[in-house]
Amino acid sequence: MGACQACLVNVDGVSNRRACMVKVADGMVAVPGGGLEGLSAGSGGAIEGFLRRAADLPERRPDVLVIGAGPAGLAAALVARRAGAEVLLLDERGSAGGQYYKQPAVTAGPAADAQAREGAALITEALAAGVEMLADTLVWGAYPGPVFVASRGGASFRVVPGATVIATGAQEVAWPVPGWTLPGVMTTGAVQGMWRTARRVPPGRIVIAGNGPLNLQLAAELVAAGANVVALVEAARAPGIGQAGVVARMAASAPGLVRQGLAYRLRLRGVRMLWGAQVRAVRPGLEIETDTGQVLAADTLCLGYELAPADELGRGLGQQPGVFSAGDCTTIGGAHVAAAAGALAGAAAARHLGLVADAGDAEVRLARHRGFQAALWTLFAPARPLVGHLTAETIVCRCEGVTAGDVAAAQAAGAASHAAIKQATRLGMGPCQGRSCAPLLARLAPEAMPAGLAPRAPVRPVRIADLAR
Amino acid sequence: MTPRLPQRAETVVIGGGIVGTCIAGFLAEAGMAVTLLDSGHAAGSTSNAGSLHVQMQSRFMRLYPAQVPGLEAQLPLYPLAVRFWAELGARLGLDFEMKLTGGLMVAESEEQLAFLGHKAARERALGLDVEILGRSDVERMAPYLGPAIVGAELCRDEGKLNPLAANKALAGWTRGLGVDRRPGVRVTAVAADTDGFVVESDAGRMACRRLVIAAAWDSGRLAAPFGLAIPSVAEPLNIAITEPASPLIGHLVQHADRMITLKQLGSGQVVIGGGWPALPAAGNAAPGLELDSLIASATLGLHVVPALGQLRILRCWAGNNTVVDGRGVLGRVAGHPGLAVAIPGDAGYTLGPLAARMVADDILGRAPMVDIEQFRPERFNVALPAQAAGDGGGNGQ
Ligand code: FES
Repeated sequence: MGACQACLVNVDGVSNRRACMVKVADGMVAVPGGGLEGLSAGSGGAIEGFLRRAADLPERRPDVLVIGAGPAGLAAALVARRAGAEVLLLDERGSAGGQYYKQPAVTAGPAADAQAREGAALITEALAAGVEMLADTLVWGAYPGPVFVASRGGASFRVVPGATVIATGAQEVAWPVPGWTLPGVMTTGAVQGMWRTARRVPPGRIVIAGNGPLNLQLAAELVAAGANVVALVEAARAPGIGQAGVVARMAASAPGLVRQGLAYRLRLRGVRMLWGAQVRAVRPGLEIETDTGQVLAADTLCLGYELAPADELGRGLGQQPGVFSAGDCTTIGGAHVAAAAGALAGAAAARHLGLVADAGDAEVRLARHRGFQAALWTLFAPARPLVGHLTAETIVCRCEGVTAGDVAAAQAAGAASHAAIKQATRLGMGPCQGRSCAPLLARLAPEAMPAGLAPRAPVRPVRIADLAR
Repeated sequence: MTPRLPQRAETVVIGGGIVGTCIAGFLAEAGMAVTLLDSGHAAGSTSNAGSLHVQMQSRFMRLYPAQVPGLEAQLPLYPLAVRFWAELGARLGLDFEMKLTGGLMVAESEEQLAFLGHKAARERALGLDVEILGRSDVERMAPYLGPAIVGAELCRDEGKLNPLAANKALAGWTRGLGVDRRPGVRVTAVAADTDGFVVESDAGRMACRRLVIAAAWDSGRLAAPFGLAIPSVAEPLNIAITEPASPLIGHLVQHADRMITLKQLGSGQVVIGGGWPALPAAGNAAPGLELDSLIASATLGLHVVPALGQLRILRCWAGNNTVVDGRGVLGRVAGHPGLAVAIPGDAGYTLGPLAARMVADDILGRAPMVDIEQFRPERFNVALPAQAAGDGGGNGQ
């Protein structure tokens, strides 16, 4: 969430705000399509002593800066704090927890589930330990030093930390098939986020398609919430007797998770399961075609095929002493791996400052959950490679409306690098700065083709007024 | 992997920016077989983002006062260069999304306005169409400017184009003419040979009869073996671009006393540049970005055009401006038949096609449309220890 910039709206006269990140309030006026509106002559006024330099931004100097308050960031902050470091934990969203420990924002509907309760306990624990948490705070820049820059409430500040843990999690990769940008097509994470924060489920018939346990979990949650889940399309083959050994290994490393998985399966008894199938095309209305020849009708389609590390800050900065990364922003391993890796990174950050840190049994947990993940993904190994189905008309870059055909034409005209394709087509030049389309381009372009530059600040769009104030 | 270079070529142009691309095209139009080598993968490593500059940039006058005579010497080229862009597009049937909206250099004190008045008088004497505007004119013509602006110098010939569209269209034009474009090839050394030149690169060695050095700041290094001490240096600059907004800012906007160039592209995006530094990079790497430059550009932009506050900056990049001595370095090199240099001078993107035309004509033995003598590379001649002085006036043909 927050990465693709495809949901920009004008809220109370301020254009280009991300609908997915703005909390609805009474009396708020939101109009769609904020992208091209918003400039009128003479608004605003002269600012006193106007020329600002970086040194004029307020500065924070915590011992440890943790960016991202999901499982990895919370664990890192807690371990570093307990080692005696003064910890500043920043998160872009309105409340801590990240995607996994997402906290409900409304009181209506069923109470928080175990996962959210576990997150709430962790957040309380970190606060009680003295971690300073700032929500609604977007870290958009990392400069050599390192110096980080963040915006919050319309103003920016610099952070010059003694050590840093980057724990910015993952983002979903679009599933590139004809029709993936149609209304009614969402991502698994977005629908789960809607349910977990706002207790809303999409209307009508829901088809969930993708690869991996998150889709299964979403289906189970939506069924329990009373939504009409008609089918689950899973790229992996149906689990068979041959995989009993794998399941046994998983049960040994994380019995709770296996029990949870079985519970999901039980809840899905009324849902049509299509194993070993992938969505190949979506037509308006939503008519969903699979690569196994089935056609499904739905009102909402949730697509959840792949995740990619949200690693712009770390990659842009490169290797730096005292800067550690943990969790899904390094490699996708899920929440439990992230929590263990986060604890280790928090300890490393504290030790970098000369403190004595104890990450408890994080080392053991990390190995155990990595083992669990490896086994899990042998169960969920896709029957056929996940490549999607790109026709010439399929949109690759949603921000700039660039199709697979446009990319092929640029290559035919001699574009021999990601940078050249970008210059020729504008792919990657939209508000998301390629975060959504770069993984799709990587699929289209030959592997040996020189890739683009490392991400640069601002890694997320930043309002000019937020820089000048 | 970059494909290996062929062993021989007739004419090699080093540098695939606006200048090298245009020279390659003009020479190919005249029937030459041209190979174009570019260390990057697409034109666009330079700092220009599509401004068409005509009036003297106050930033340059302040930073390099010693180069003002050089700047003034080449000032008459700028209006011609802008016209040449338009003619080139029309002749080739290419759309560069060019808009000659005029440029405003704004002042926010009587002192700055007086400076602009003085500058305008000298520019007018050199043939530029410039005019000083007071506050009421500014309010009428450019209501988007902030209340601090008391006046401006208007230069009617200035404007903007879309450099991505222009680079792409011109690259396609050269391809259609059979130019062998070789991206991703870094030239490590060049030298004279019995029958021309040899070019060493990371994609192999290539012999050629004719060599054009159009490699911007890197040209000094490449021209050194021929006894030219061209002091070309890269000046990495920060540029920021916003998300699109409804049309508001027509002009190319600059400031009399502050480093800012601001314009709104056809896409609605606003580009803020104007000279804030980026970090020099080693070798062929991209220059690094400085937070200072981003903050300063944003506050200046907001000060000059208050409505910008709402817009978000999407992206920053750094490009290299090339600084020599205020004047272009153009034409054949005496004593080295077949060798030519093409560095257009400040605001090189504006001058690019015209400078390329001048150099191509010089190579082809045609009278250039503008007198090229004062731009000759020979002004940087130094005696080479192991080589006799050139035979003087050698002809490239
Ligand atoms: S999808 Fe956002 S830039 Fe391509």
